[in-house]
Amino acid sequence: MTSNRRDRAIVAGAVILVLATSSLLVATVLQAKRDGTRALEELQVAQVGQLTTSMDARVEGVFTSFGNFVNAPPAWSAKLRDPGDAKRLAGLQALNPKARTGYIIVDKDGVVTNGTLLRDPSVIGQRLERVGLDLILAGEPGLTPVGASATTARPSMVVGYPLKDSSGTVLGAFMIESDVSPESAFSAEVAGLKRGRTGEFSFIDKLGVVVASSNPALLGQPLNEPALRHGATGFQRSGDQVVVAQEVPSAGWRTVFRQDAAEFEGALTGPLESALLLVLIGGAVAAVVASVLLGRRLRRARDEQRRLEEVSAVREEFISIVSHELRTPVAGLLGFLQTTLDHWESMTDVERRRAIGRSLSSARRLHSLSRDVLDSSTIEAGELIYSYRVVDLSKEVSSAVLALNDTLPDRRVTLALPGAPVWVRLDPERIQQVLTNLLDNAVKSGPSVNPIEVTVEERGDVGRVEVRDHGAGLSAGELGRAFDKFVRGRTSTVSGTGLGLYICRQIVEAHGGQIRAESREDGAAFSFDLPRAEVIAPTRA
Amino acid sequence: MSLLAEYGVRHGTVRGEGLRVLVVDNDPDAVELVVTDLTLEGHHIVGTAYTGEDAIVQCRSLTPDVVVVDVRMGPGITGVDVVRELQDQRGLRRIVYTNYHDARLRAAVEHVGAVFLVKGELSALRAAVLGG
Repeated sequence: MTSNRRDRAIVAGAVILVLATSSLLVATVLQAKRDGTRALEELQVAQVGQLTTSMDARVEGVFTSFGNFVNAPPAWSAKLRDPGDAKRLAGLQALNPKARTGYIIVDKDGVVTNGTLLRDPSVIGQRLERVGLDLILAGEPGLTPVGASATTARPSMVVGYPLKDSSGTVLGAFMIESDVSPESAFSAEVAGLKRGRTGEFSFIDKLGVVVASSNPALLGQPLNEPALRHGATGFQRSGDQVVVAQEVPSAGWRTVFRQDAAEFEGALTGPLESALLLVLIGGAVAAVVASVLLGRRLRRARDEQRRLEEVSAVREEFISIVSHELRTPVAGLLGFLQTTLDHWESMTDVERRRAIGRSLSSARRLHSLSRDVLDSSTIEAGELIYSYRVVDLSKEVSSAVLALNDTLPDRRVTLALPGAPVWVRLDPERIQQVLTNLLDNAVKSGPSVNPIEVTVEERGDVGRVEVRDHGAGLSAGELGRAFDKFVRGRTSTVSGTGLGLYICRQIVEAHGGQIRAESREDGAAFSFDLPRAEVIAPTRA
Repeated sequence: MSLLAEYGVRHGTVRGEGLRVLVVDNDPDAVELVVTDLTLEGHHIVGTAYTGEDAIVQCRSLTPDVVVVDVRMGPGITGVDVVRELQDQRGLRRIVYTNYHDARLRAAVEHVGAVFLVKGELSALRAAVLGG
């Protein structure tokens, strides 16, 4: 019970160890995932920042070059339909015949005084309604938010530059519309920034309208992004999206990067999560395998331990039995000799002969027992040596029965032999040992009035010897274990070392034969077969 | 029994002396040794038994002076059971005569007032039968 509890504790310990290792690995992977994600976020912010800086520089560059151009003589008049202004604008427009948008001049009040590619020429003389125009007219170059255009059907933004006289007073503004469309060079450039399946870069103006985007569907549309309210910038998570925004100060825009969080992190976390899954599966499998293997191994070790304990217990019992079994014939041998010597004068010749005969039979029993004990260890070491001869089995059996008659003259033993010799190749000494054991068992099986029947017969390729008694029978369990070592059969008897039949089987099997035990109506029969010798040629001792 | 009769006639009965002894052992050789020796010592063997149960029956009916009994005798009761059962029988000397060297066994036997002897030395048995 204690061992079982200990086994379970060991298995549980192993499982805990595996789980702890797995947890450590999981924690490491999760930490790597966190670190990796942070690095990815920083990388994205840096990329957006770079794009923003570059865009800011470009816008500044546009303003500078516009400034150089606008400030170059002759001076702009910004008066209604001024022919000089009109001529310069036409000249400019002619430089770019494929232009989709035109130029506009407004006066200090925002009224259109001249223009090219105007969709409605009657706009000249009217105030240009454009958000952000007032800032330009206040004296600073700028980009207006996206709005309705005067020179194209598409929405557009306006790059505006103030026109000033020599004293610096604002006369009006020079403006060029730039359509917000997929075809614009700016849009085409931004479109190239598309990232993955869901990653998009956009530029939004002050009002949140998309002026350029890698997603053309967004152009000219307000970007409905809750994370960008209140002009937020930096890295943010919004729902299942990541959003990175940066200010483009010169244009008053923001650069916005948006991507599904799953895709954003997927490139990094995908393999990590796969690794994590593998670690978990591996850990679970290892835990299960470890617990099963360890459990099995422990069980085997316990079984082995139990078996060894049993063997040890059987050995101890065997030693106790053997010492008792040896004492019995020793007591007989000594006792009959002692009583004969002590009463020599008062004993008749017959009495003396009988007592000496008893001493002899005790000595024989002692010899037989000690031989069994010694042989069993020799057999186990595989060192029992056989010296075979071809002999008549009937003769061997006859001499064993005669020896029994000699020892127990009162015991009735019948012997049935076949008419012809049964030639068998055997070791006579060892087969005598087998016969002695079987006859001894038959004698011990019951009271001396019970007869013993011994039969020799030829059965096909084998010669068979059967020793039949009329004593206590054998139970089914006893039959199955009769030839096992240390098994003492027949519950009604207590004598015997439990080695006799074991040795008999070893000897018979070494001869290529078989031995068996059967329970009969009254008593039992032990028989063994030995292969008949092929060469029928007796060799005399 | 022929053996008993033979010794009985030639020794105990003829001499008309010695004690009346019942010998109990499941081993016929052991019975024969004790019977032979005690008869030659001049005792009268009133009976032999091969089981503990038979020993008690014969003791009650034959009322011997001495019972010599082995310990283990097959599946039935043991010699210790026999001497315990017979401890109230007046005038009966009980001797457990066995091959088992066991302190607990000796204690159990002596506890019920019987004599414990280990087989091997006949002179000890002879003395015990005489009450020595």
